[in-house]
Amino acid sequence: MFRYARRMLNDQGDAEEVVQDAFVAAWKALPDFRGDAPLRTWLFTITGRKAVDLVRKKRAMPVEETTLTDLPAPGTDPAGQAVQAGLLDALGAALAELPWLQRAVWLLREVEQMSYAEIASVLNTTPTVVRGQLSRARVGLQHRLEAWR
Amino acid sequence: MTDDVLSRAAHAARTQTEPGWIDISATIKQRLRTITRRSRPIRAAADNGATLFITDQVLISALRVAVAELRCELDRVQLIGDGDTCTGAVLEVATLYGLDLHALADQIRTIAYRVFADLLGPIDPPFGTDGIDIVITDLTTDPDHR
Repeated sequence: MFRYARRMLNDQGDAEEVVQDAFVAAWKALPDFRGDAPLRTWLFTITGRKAVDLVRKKRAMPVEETTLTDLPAPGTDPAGQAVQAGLLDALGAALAELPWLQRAVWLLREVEQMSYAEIASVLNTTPTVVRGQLSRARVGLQHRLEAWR
Repeated sequence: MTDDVLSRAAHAARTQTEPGWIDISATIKQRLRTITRRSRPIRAAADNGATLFITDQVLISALRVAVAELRCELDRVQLIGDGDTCTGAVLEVATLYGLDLHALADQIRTIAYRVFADLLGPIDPPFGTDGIDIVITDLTTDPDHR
């Protein structure tokens, strides 16, 4: 949940606040949890909603197009740990440029390894929409991570 | 291949330990310990006749587990009674399509009554299985999403 929140918000402090709020909300709502969705899906749904609430409260969604020159350049040793850290930074920057739904879908699929149905449940949409958003997210990330080929 | 880069990035994001998580999880646990949930005390009787109170949350949790044994999912529970007494209940449940609902409702009523009897002891004023109403609120064909 923290990983998801941090990548969605691109901010450690915001992610911490969101995960705390999500756990508190889940704890309060636990007696009403019907169990018709897995607990993990339910918790991610709450985390996503709290993240949206925080973004609405604190700031506008990032919409500006940043150029690829803003991305950190890869190091000279592609096997090094520094390169991996750089790649993660670049991924974070690239994700931050994606629309909210594409970012959420990609993270839930590729990082949290959820099924399309689970992602649809978390994001309150359909598996067909998930497939479309995932495809667009992949294209967007491929474009933005071109420098890492 | 850029796909390899994406896969590598996803793998790195998946396997990386989130910085600061240990401290954050401790803070979250500490905060959760201070959070309370509202509950209603229900009068019960111990084996020696002494009066004790249990929360409605305990009752509902036990009902949820019991009802799940019958391939049903407890949706809502309304406990009937004045003040701290419980003289019946309305159980709203979701279950699988194609079952004999009348027979199922009888089974739920029986198993729910057993939960009330176990947790509340000799109930005063007494009520039987007819004090428990079952409402089927949802039918599904997916056994994983009752």
